[in-house]
Amino acid sequence: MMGRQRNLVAFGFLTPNFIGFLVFVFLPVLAAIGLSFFRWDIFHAPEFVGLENYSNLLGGYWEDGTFQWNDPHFWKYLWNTLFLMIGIPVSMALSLFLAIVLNQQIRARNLFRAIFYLPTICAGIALLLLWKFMFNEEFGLINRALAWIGVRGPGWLTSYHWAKPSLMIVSLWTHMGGSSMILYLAGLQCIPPELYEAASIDGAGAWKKFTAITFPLLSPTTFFIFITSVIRGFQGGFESAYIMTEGGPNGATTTIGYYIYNHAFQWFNMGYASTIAMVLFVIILTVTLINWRYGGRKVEYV
Amino acid sequence: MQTHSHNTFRRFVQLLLVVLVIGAGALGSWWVWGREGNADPNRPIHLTVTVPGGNQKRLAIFDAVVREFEKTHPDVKVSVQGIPGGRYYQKVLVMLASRIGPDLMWMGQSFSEFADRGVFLDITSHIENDETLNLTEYNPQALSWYRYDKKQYAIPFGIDMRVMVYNKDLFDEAHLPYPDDDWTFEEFLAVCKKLTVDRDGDGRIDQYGYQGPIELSLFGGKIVEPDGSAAACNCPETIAYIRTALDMFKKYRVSPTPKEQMQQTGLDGYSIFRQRKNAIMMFATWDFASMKKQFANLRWDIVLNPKVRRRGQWVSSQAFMIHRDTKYPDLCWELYRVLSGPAMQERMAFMTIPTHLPTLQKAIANHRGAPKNVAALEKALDRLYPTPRVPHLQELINLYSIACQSVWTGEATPEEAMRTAERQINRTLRRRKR
Amino acid sequence: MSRKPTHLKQRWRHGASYLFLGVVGVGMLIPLLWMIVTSLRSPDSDIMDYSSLFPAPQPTLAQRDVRSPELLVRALVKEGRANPSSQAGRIWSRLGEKDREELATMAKTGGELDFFQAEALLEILNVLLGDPELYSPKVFPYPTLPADAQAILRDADAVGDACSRDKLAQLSKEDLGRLNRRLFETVFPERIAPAGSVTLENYKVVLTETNFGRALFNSVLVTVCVTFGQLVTSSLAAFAFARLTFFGRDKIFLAYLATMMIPVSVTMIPTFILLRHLGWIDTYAALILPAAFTVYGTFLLRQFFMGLPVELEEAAVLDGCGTLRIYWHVALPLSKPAMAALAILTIMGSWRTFMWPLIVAQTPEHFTLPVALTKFQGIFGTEWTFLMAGGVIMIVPMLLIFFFGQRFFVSGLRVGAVKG
Repeated sequence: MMGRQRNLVAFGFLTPNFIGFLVFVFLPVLAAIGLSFFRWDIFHAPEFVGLENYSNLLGGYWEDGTFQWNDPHFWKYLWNTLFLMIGIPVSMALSLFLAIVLNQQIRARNLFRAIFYLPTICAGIALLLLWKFMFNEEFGLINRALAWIGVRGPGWLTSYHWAKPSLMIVSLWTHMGGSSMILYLAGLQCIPPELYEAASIDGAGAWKKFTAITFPLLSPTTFFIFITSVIRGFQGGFESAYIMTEGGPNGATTTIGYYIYNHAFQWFNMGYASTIAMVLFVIILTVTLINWRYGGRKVEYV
Repeated sequence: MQTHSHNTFRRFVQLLLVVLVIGAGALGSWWVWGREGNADPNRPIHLTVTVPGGNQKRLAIFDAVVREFEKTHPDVKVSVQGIPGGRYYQKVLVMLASRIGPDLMWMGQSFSEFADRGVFLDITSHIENDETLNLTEYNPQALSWYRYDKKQYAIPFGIDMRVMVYNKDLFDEAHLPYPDDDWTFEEFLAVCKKLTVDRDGDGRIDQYGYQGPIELSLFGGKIVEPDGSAAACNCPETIAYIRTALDMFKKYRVSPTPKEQMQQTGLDGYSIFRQRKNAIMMFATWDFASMKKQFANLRWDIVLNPKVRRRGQWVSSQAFMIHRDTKYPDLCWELYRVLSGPAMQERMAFMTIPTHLPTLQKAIANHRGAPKNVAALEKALDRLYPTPRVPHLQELINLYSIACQSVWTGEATPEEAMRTAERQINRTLRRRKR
Repeated sequence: MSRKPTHLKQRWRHGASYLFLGVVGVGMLIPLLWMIVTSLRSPDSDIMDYSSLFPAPQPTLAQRDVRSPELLVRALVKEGRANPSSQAGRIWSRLGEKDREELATMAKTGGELDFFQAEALLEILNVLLGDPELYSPKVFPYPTLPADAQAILRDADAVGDACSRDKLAQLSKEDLGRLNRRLFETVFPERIAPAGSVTLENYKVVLTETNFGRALFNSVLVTVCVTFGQLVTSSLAAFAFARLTFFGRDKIFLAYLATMMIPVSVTMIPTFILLRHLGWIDTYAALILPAAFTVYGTFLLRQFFMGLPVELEEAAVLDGCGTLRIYWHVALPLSKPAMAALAILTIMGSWRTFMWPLIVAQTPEHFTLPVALTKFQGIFGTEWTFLMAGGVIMIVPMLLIFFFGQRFFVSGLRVGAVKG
């Protein structure tokens, strides 16, 4: 095929998605980028302020000989967000494990898959509320169970140090049987069984099969899950914190996503919210590119 | 391989076809259904009213009032939209931002944030031209909360007050007299101490004397200056308030740790009170509808705040607003009168306190059931301390409450925390100034 | 080859698998069970009360407990006045002067009671439920009482002659309310429904008070269209990104990916304003189109297409297949598991999505299920049992789709590949 013709064919494939993408995704994103240079309270006309939002967000000043950030909360919330992302690799490992177990020829396989997917289906206010009850210091299920074995449980959602781990537990529980498991299952289905048969004949054990066949062949899936999880991790944490802790105590569970929401919809600082989003964007982009460069290279496409 | 992969593929195509057929069918029925209503050029006038969802009775009242309005205005169709509470303001905000706002909208405490941005209709002239309306019959203070630059934006239909709710059974068990509206903080504290009980002796308190915030206004404390120009939280009164709140759980141990809005909002609050985890708890009038049902098994009543440096109650208010860009301002005004008028207020009585004074008196006289002490609500009307309605209120309060939380978690002393809050509030105000 | 050890090992492994799946599975089932239990409780019950699975309902009367309130009022007034020594007479005599007047006016007006009259009636009756003197052994002899009411009196040691006012006044409010409610039920058996611990009331409310049919229709329509759109457009684009070479491919893909990194919070209002300019607010297009072109699906399928063996494609090219046919006959059938996964994720996501429909749909005609069913969530108190009933209604179809859908999708390729 000629180069030009090839381009034409390819763009033919791309067009249906590309048009929708341009209109519904790309244009609003451009608008958001633009807004980050404006002060906009949503009702009045936006007012151009140049880099003021950025300096308000990232800058600092000296007072009484100590350095102060212009927006100390941003840094705190960024740290919270990063901390909560520790859960991502754990969650992915659990998803992979579940997928492998559920990919065996065992009875009631479909039923189990459905059960593990339940938290994702049920997810929402009702479920978060249930967790809030379970975490209740005085008469939550968890602390009652702990008291039964003689341990005095902490105020899971109300103590500064336990709030973040508690939210991580919730997200782990919700996500391990969720989309990652589905994707891993799909990935496992795509691995030709002949490879395992050949390995068995060579006398390879389960672990060996996993490291030599399963894991490498799943690497495109893993790569995808990792990238999307990281992106979501940077943006997420809003729903659960909003309902269970309202970002507290003392801002321990406020993530950047929550902070952006507050500025955009609670405090009417749309411009500033966009600025935070842009800084977040740069961070995510950097992380993703690093992933792409170094992680992507190891991805094996058959 | 060929045949099998072909087989799977065929099934796949079949599936796609099924999806297509369903999709086409759905689209087709949309063509019929969805466009049905728009075909008639002489359709009635549509007005939209947004209210937060939730309590069924509240929604039913709004609905019933509107249906009555429709009976007298046959050419008007009013749709009352119950919007999930957590996202109410966000939804209204987006609608207003793109100028397709509802004709009438319910507004609570966040009113000032919106009013500041000029999205509501100034109803001053409507009020002046309406002979049936006598503004002197309404609570003047509540009216003043909706006045900006001598323009009246609303006639609130209800005042929401935070009050203490106590469990009479627990008072009886401890052989204590029921609290009196004229009590002082010392009396309150003594009662709390007696009502804080470790029933099983495991060192863990099973029943607290009091749970909830002690009002800042009782100390004369402030967060921001009333004109919204600067922070005012770094003052002795506010610090005294924080210190006392801290003492309630650290020193006297009569309250659980202030989880501020964390564990006592909404349902958990009812459960905690209902399961006798505390004897006195802070609720608000808007809880009454739920409490009537939730506390049907209990003997309970309300009592006003004890006097600390002064007496006072925290209040907020509810009102409907007319959208500035509505196509039918006069019609909206008529609906407005119904939605905020005495008849409606009487029906809402004590889910919120009527602002129409004759209605309030009537409601008190006609009141039956729990809470008995509704007369106290009227008594408190001359000592109301609403959160000042200044621009950027939510953002400023957030800074203040984060600072408070750093005291509760032991990371800062009250002085340090208020200094931080003051600095951050002032910086924010400077930044937001146009 | 020794067969037995492998067999044993496999058994062990299966045993361990089941144990693991069972334990974790129970943990995953709890939320659904909890939601179901809560949705069956009476609307005024404490949803954090776990002293029993279905706690006894509160001894109050709600509108749902009273069948045709206008007849109740008339019965109350007529029988109460006519026969002071009867049971209805006792109830009538315990009413305050003002309440009697109000009831009398209600009875006189005729026709159905409106919402507010019905509420007033219930208020009056509910106050009466807390009256320790409503029960009188003279009017309600002990043997004529229902068993549970007898039990309450027995527990209070207030049977027969021993029945004194003091004893009844000492009853807990709960027992007193229950006793009095039973009296009401005995006196007006046709009008007042007996209280039950398990109730379908919540489902009834959700189905009748939310424009449910329309919302269900909307949800199905939106989900089907979005899923279909996603599968078609994403797979086409993903095929281009993964299998074709063209000008600026990687740069365009990076731009795709980059847009995923901007949070929805800041693009929501621009998107909304854009739709307003298109005149699409409160239309199905606004509900469907923005969700039908996601980067996520394209990225996902690209990853899978990249994993397909090159040889198949080369063979197809040698056979003289065009690009479209390679896509249709090679790439798609081979990535069926991935398409299935994307379909499932999209269906689930689109079925549950709440924020965007809430913002975009202005009239109930365009509400989807999540929007319609959450109207019981309020700023001032939330009707949890209704919310839970709505939640269960939302979950069940998804569970069925997931359960049967995965079998339909996933097993096909496996069989084909093994035998191939």
